Amino acid sequence: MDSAPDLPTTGRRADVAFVIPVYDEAQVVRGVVAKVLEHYVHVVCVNDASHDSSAAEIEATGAYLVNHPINMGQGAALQTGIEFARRLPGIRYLVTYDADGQHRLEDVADMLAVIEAEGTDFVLGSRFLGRKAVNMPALKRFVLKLAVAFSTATSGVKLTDTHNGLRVFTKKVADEIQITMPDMAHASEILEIIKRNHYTYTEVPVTIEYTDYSRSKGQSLLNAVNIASDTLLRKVSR
Amino acid sequence: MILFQAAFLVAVLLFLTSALRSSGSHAINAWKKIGWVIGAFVIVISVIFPDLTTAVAHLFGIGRGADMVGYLTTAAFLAYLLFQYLKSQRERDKVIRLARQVALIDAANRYHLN
Repeated sequence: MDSAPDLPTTGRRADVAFVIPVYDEAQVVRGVVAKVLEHYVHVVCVNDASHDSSAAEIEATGAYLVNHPINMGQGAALQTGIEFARRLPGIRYLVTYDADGQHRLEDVADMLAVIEAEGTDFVLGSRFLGRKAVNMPALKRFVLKLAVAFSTATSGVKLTDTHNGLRVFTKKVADEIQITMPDMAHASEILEIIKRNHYTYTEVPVTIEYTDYSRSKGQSLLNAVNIASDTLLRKVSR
Repeated sequence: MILFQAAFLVAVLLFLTSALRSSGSHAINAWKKIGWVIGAFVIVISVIFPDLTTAVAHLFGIGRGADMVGYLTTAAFLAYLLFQYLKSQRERDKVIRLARQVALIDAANRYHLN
């Protein structure tokens, strides 16, 4: 693989770059990326030192593959993907998207329409706005609600869903953003960046499809404790 | 008891001389060295005159000098843990930035993006 994706570009948007962090998703990543590539030219997969054949699966799709030499966490992978994607020519918007197939391209299209119409810096997906998340476990719903309260308190940005991986933002944001929390705490950090840089934002209802696969891959709810302590300690250290 | 005190003093002095001998021209090191000297001085005084720590403890409403020393040691240990944690976070940030540049350079070369 030594050339840019070379699928036919007709009918596919070339001004949007998808950033997809990938860690041990060999089972599903090819299907997810292939579906995105049907509609969008630029898909940047950041392989966060997966142990399985994720890298080969990504290469087979023709998406851009950026390989972390060591495992650094999802937040670090997002930042790497953003830094790669913002150098691609003609990019106006970036989309952060999960590799496990729980996000829907219909929602991305809605979010792109909103960011273009409203001219905000960010459009964030929300599971708790209007539409219902499909098959969301009750405990997960409870912990996510807690996370919303926590993130609102630490960042001052008021949202209905603070830990949704589906986001759309402008190239300008991509040029300026610097995510330093390598692991899952990046979700709260992004809200703090929104607050600090006075970015404008809109929430758009999205549907998350909780499949057996995504549930087994999803982070354990206990990890919420780690995220909270990391977020608070960061406030001490910086 | 005299034997223990003598051995302890020798140990503190040996530690202090080896620590101070370590080279390094940064100002932060100078402050660390001053801190060590003061710390060692306090320890030596408290070992030679145990009644003194009790007197100081009474000033703060603590019953025994040994208790106060215990509290201070615990506090110092916790502060040390926090300091080390923050330091490891800073080191992790550096490693991540380095590894990210490696990944980006490698990808830019493969896709001829330079």
